[in-house]
Amino acid sequence: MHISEGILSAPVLTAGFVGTAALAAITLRKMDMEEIPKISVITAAFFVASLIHIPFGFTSIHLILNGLVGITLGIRAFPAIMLAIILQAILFGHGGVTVIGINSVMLGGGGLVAYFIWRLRHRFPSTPRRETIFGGIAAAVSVISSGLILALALVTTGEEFVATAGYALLAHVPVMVIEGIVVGVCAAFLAKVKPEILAGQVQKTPMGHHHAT
Amino acid sequence: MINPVRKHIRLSFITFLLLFFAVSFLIPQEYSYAHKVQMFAHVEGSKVFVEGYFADGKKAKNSEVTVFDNKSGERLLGGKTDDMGKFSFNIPKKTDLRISLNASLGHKTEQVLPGSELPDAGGSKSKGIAEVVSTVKDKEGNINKKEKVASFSQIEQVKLQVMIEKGIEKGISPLLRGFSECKERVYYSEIIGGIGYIFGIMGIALYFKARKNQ
Repeated sequence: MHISEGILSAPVLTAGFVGTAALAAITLRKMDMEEIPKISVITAAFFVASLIHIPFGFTSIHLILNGLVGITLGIRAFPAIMLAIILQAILFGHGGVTVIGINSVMLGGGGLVAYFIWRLRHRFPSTPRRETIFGGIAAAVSVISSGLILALALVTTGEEFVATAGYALLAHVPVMVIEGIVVGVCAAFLAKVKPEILAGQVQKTPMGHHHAT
Repeated sequence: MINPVRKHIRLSFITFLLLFFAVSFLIPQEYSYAHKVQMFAHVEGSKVFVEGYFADGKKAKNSEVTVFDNKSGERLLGGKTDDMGKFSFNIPKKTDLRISLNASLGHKTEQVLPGSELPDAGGSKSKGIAEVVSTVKDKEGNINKKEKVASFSQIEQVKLQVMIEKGIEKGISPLLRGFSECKERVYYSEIIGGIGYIFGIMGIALYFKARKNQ
């Protein structure tokens, strides 16, 4: 899921860093103290999740979980994913330092897309299945958005990568399905057990008021 | 202001621990990431042997190998790895060889073999011995017995040197391989370290926020 070093052209890499800086500046604004611990916890979970490999057919895949980060942290998903990517690049050489920018835009962007879809659930009647369905759709679309950004980065680098971009998108399909299921189940579980972890979840406070976080 | 924050920190921490333990059970024995491709290239005689594999030990089959002259950037040759992830080629010329291995979906790795590590193009190191032998023979007529002995021991020395070099090459190649595999593996301690960084950054962020709020 990470783009490796030495593939993309310099303008694409630069665009990645510029995009990351801009998105980080927007998504870090007006952060409350209360948000910081939650962001850190989710960042740590995301950081670990991409290091776990599950055998799948001939190859092994790892969960991306940028959709889960999106539906829990809202717009703060971007800085969270960016931090995890920076650490993965430094500690494990996952991707590499020059591709931190484009990888952040790719995965963090997917997280933001997941949040925008997740927000739409309020327009639908509250049924027990609502969180599962929206969590699943948000995660699936998030993976595909990341895949599209990856494909775009490859295509703008050079025409010789058009075929590779196609394969990359195709490879995202099974990941999309698995992520959709995993995150859907997670969303339903969290909505029941700890709704305040989810972004914008209407919750009951001890005083009995309803308020959205 | 302080109490809800504290409560939040505690709750988040418990959730994190639960998540972390749940996740730990899923971590396979080797903390490797399968996607990263690695290459092991070594010289044996007049040939270069390239082996591509993923960090989890799987061979990089049918991967494109391209060899460039690192000084001029010129493409020298190319090919694909076999089912064992192996590819070999004769050294095209004595220069810094940049070997690039491309294992689909943009997973690529490169290695440079410095020209100084390569034997002369088109021949093995034993060619060097032949040259020494012939030059000694050319001079044979003019040299006295004592010098002759010295020359022969010189030949023996060169032979011996080549033999030792070959022996070392053979002996250390599995070690080198193990070393480069080892280097790339993700270790549990580093994962813990990464989580530590994240919480360290959280601490710093909270500290500055708290000072601002005062």
